[in-house]
Amino acid sequence: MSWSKNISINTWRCGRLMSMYPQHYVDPIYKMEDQCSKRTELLRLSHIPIKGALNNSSDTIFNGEIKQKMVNYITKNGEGFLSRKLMAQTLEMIKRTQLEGSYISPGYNKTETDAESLLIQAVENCRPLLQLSSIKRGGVKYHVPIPLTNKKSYFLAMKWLLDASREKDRKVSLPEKLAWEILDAAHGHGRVIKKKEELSRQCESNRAYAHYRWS
Amino acid sequence: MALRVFGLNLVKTNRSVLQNVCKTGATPTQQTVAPYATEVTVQASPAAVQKQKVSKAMKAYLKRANEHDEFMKTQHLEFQIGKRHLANMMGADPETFTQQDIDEAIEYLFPSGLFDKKARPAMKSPDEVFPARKAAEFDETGRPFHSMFYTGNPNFFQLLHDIVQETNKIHELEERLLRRGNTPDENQKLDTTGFQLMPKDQLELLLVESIADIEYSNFVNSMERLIALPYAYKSKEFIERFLKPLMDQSKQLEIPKPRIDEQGRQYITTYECLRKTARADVTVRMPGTGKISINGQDIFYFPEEKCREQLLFPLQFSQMLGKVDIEANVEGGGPSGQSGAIRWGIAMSLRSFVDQEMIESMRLAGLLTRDYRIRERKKFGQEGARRKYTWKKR
Amino acid sequence: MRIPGALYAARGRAPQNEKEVPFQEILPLRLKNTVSGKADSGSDVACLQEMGVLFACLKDNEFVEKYCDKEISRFQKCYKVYMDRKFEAKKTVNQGIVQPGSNLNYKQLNKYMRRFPNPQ
Repeated sequence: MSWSKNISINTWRCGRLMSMYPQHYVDPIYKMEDQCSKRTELLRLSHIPIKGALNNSSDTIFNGEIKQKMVNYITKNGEGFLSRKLMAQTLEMIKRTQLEGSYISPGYNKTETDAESLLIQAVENCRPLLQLSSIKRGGVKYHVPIPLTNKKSYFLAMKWLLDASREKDRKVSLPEKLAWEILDAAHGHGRVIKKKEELSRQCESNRAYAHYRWS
Repeated sequence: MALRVFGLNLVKTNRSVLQNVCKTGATPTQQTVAPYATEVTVQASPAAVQKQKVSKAMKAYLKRANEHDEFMKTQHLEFQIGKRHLANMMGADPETFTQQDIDEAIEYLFPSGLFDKKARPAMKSPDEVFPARKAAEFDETGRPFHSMFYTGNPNFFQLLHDIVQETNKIHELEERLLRRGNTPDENQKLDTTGFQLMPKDQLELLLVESIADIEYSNFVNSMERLIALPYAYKSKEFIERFLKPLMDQSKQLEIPKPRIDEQGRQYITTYECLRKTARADVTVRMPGTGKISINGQDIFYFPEEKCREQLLFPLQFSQMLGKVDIEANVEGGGPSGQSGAIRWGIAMSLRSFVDQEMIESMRLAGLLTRDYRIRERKKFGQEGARRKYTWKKR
Repeated sequence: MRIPGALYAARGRAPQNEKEVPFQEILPLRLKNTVSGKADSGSDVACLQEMGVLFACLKDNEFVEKYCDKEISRFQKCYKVYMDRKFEAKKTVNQGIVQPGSNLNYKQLNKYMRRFPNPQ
């Protein structure tokens, strides 16, 4: 039923409500194209209140999900404006390097010059499949491979990229290093990809303990 | 709903009459306005009085009922007197003094600055103030009228029973029609979009019984099963009793008509645009050239790109960029809050210049929702709003 | 004549005389009508086989994920299905709905036992 979901949300509220919006509020759809493609669902939504649009959202090509997540992960001490600036610089750096490379090399219209798609490519390449978590059984610590949810794997990929780029000389700026790391990862080599491979190797060597997990 | 039994009458009733009442109440043919209310109005002549054993429960009930009756009678009397006094004070005719007049008089005579409307002085009919009570569900010997009395919630379970009966009826009908080779009429199909099943609190009022969450979910499930049947339109009347229409969210707020300024341009001013601690007044003028002025400055009032993007979001979304002029006065808050306030003001004002479909789109994009999230306070014993101090055992 | 204790010891201890030590019912001799949920955390092991296949493939291809797309997608799909099912199950249990079947949660078991308690 179209409305049954609404009701069940209303009545089966369990646990503490942390959001300031009531639980039956629905996340907004920012992009006009998305709204057009979901015509049938919108009929149901016409009776449901919508949450307010976030202040980092817009219906433009500059608004990407992974980009925004990255900006949020770069942020330190609530300095969101600064992290947005850093992200913009990073993307600019990527674009410059790619354009330069494409002019120098002979088949130059084949190289990818879209900075954001390179970023997405890099993050996708860095996503781990499994994670090692240590579990104590009978006084012995075992490293047990555990599958990851989508969200967690995206988080780890972005965190590794950032960690790798924060490990640098003082003279090198973060955007510069991050741009290098992203370009490396997008082409399937570099430190982050190695780290990921190392992790899967460890998971493989510990696969005998896979049935130990219970978390 | 009058749900009270005239207690005194009941004692004088003889048993056979009561049983008749019980029978007629139980048959599904006699479903009128409120079939689940336990309205048992019994009129018996005093001649039929027989000395019979009256159970203890009945005695206690009768005592309570009597007290309640007396109480309600005095309340009604007091209400009438009060009404007359009020009418006299206001210089009106006491006979034609309506509830609306009473409310106005009270608001005039006892002005109250209390925020909560429930806390302000009021005078209402005692029927409204004191909730309806359930009438006796058993006769004077203690034998219950309703076959499901011992379930504790006879009305609720009767309702479930009725839903199942209705479902079975439709199943039978479907089978019969199928044998004849008929198919359900697609045009008459029951459409429940825009309707909601009766919420729990309203159902409780209707049944005069308090029901548990899980019982309500049982009701919802069985109603859904009934509605999903192909021939559900045959028992439309029954189903519609438990449906409630939903309001279209985008039509809830009235859209203001644009006014004309001295240059002959249409304009709309939205006051009190709030976000975090910022407050703004936004004026949108149509037609324009896309000029934006905030506190006398242009869009570079905001040095951050993010805030400027926010200002342009509603304009770009509704394709009005460059077609309207915007003036805004904003105070309080930081850049993010201020730009959010102005964004909301622009979106609200733009409603007058775009069509209904675009308004709905803007609502779905979350532009027309007042974002009332604010900074969460710090808690004592914690480092911040949620974060706890580091704890070390030793 | 007294028999020395060593002879008894070979046969083990003699049973207590019931007249001398009468039986006391300290706790009622019947099972409780509830179960504790302590042991009910359940094992969380899922998709072991898929994981094994994935590891074999990865080892063969020297941990280059490009060549194991099929195995990876199968593994992730399996885990997603498992998580979805777990979420659904949790929701029904929280609602207190008791389904037929032998695989019952401790909450559901308690609900059953409250309905059919041990005779007093």
